[in-house]
Amino acid sequence: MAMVSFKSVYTKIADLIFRRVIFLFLIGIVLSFLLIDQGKLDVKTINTMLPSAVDIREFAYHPAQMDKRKIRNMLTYYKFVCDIMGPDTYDKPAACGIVGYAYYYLGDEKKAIDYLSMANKNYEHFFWINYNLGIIYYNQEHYEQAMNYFLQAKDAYPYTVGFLVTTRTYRHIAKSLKLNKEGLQQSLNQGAEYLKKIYSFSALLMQDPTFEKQFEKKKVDLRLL
Amino acid sequence: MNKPSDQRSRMLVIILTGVSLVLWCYLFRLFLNGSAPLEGDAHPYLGHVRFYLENITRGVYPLWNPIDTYGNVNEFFLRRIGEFNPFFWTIVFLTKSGVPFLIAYRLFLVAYFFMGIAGFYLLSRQLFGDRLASFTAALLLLFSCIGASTFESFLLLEIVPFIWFSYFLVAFMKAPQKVFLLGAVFSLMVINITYIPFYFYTILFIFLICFFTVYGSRIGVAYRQVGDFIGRHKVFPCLCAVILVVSFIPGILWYQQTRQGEALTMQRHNGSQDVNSTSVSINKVNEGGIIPNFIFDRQFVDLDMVGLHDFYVPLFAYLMLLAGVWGRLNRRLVVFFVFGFMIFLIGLADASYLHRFLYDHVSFFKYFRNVQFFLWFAILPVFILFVVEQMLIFIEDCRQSRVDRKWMTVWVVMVHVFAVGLFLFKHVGCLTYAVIIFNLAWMLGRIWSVGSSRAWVLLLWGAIILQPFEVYSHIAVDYPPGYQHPYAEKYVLSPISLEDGEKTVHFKKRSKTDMFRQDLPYFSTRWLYEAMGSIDGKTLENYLGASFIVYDRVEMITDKSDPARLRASLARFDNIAFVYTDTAQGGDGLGLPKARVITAADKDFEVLKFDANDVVVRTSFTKPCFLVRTQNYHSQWRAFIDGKPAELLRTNICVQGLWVPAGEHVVRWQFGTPARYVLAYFLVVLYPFVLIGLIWLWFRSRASIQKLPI
Repeated sequence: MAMVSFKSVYTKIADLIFRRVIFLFLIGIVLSFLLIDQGKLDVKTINTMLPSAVDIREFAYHPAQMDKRKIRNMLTYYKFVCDIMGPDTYDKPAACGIVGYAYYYLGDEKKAIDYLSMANKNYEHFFWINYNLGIIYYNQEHYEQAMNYFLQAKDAYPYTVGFLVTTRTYRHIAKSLKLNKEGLQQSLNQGAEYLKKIYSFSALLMQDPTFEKQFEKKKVDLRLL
Repeated sequence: MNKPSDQRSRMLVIILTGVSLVLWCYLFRLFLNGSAPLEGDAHPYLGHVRFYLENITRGVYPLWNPIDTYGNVNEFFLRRIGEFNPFFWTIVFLTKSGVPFLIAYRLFLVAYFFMGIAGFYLLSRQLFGDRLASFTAALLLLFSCIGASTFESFLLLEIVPFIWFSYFLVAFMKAPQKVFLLGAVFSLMVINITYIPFYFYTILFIFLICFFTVYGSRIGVAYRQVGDFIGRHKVFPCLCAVILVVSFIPGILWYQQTRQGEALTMQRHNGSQDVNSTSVSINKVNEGGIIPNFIFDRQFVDLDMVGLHDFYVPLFAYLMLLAGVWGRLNRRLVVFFVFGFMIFLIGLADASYLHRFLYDHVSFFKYFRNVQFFLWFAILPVFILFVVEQMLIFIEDCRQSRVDRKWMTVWVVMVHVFAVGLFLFKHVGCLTYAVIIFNLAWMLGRIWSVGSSRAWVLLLWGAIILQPFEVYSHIAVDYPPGYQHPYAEKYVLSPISLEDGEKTVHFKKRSKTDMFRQDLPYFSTRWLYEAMGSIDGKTLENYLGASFIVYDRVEMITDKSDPARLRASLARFDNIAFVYTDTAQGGDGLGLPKARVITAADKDFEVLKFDANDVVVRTSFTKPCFLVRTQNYHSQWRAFIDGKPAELLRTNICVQGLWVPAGEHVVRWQFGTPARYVLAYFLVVLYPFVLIGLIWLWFRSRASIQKLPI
């Protein structure tokens, strides 16, 4: 009796699992673990792992509340992305830009400049990279270099909206920030406004022999965006 | 279902099909009416199609493109579009009827896509033998990302013949008829003339393995059927085989041409060890690939941010997938699953071991990247077929005992509650919730046989189309006007105005300078790349901007020579040209210090004829001159003076030059061999001819097609 009951239970379980669609799904899950290199899968998901994009914004707006551990995670991840991507891939400058950004907020301005310059070398028309490089040099009081980057930022095509919409790296950030097209445009305009402030007086001051001193006097608190 | 009710349901399906097509057009109206620009690859493809059609309607088969990067081999672009595809002629018809080209092209794309949907419907009819199931499959495909990719990608040009081939193949295996064989051959012919038919052959091969593994006993049946058919119609299959073989020739010729390495896609080829200039390195391939997390990231949250290039399937498919997990397994589901899973593994690139194995052991895997396109080509359609099969099993299970139906109800309600829970904190629109309600109502109605068949059809329709309506209506509203691409190659956006804070971005035609200031061209001759590496952009631009230049003196240099002298010479337009062979050196050099740039017809120079592949000029120089034509050099260019072959030399790194004697002469440059043009014009005629034959056979066999065993 007990045997019959066991058999009937077994038959029922077999019927419920092995002859049902769910069996395929279970097989699929097992095979996925066996046949897919999860590590390399993560590399491809360049936008979905780290960092929390909200953190990125927080760095800029609330530097005092920065969680350095999160920045380090962000740095590790995007540095890896930046290193593995070919020089002509769309996301390379974006990823390298974020590495520079992370180094800046970790206090290593030299490396920040290195990575932002690498991003700039890969793609020189990206507004934010020029802008951020300009800000670093500006805060370091290297005004000539700062001006060069500001001018490049000013002349850069406003790809930022398109960039944010298209590249995987930035799109994830935009998505997490709930930035729609208007939001992205607003973000770009905000940067442009900052740049306008710097540019409008610095362009005049460039013609002045006491340019550097005056520039210094008018120094405003600027941060990387 | 009784007959009148069946008739009414049939009519309802027809009406809903029409409404769905209209709704699709409404959702993508900005792309249809030209308000929103084509994105991504769709944009250059438009250029390729336009260039081809404008030439071929003038009787010129354009093997050379004199406009692109100062002269470029056009075969690459022809292979991309599959120029012999006879459906391109609808664009010609529309433009001749007064429709602007840009609109005509979009109308063609949409019509072509709808044709693919019709093919998918017929394929589903063959597979499932159920009108409602076929309607569901076609509707899911219509409102999936494949439709959206029409305006963003070239995928459509490949997917539509894929679908029709699948239909004709299935139909032929069920009932071998001439029309199905010709249909399959024609679809293959269209696929073969595209640059990358490898996606298709990979899919076909994997499918055949999966099919015959699961349905092993069918091999013998299929073999006998095909054998019988060939036995009955000896000539027709041979004819089909011949035209099929012919359709491979352009691809083979292109392959041979790329082995010479004279024209290449620098970005793709970079890092590849293969001599073929279209090969791609494994690292390049691995930059792409399917990103599973990213796909699902887009499926269930922030639907207002779904773009044209995002993977999307209506929510109904996922609900059905979950609701049907307890459905009975059958062999068809196993085939779909195994096939889809294998293609998925290939599409993962280096994240799975299968792709690397194929890259190492299957030669054609070295010639294509973007393996993520398998998502669109195979995984999405097969996923839809899988779900529809599940739906049929679900409907079948609704006839079970009352107890089983109770369990089904519990499971279905759980799935929908889970779906609501999933979306509750993800900020989706109300239409997504409406889908869940419609779907729940439809499933409960089917389980308990409540409501009429027409009500079920309506609920099913609502459950499929409501969410796409929410998703794609955002594209129409949010689409950034004038936006093309962050790294625009053909067009750039005008700089933002810092003065007036202008928000709108506008198109601006890219100047010549931009080409050199920005990235290298995607595809060009090897010599132009070399020139761009040796000479600064401004100098090169100025130099190549002059169409014809006349020199008095020629000197030999080598590719290893210091380019400084050449650079300075080109910048000043010195009266000396540099060639790479000692046989052409000469000239007195006694003329003017600067070379003569011909900008218009003169008493000693006149252009007699000009088209993409053929240029004829009349010269009457007073002394022998070295005439340079600033089109990129390519070994397939041939020169003739008074009808006799003349030596055409690579000059100043990348352009064409030849010695022209004093006195009156006719100089001619021709690209390609006569045999190549004969083949091209033959194929231009052959493809429409085969299509007409197929349509004729279709109508002639209409009665037997309708009686086809399902």
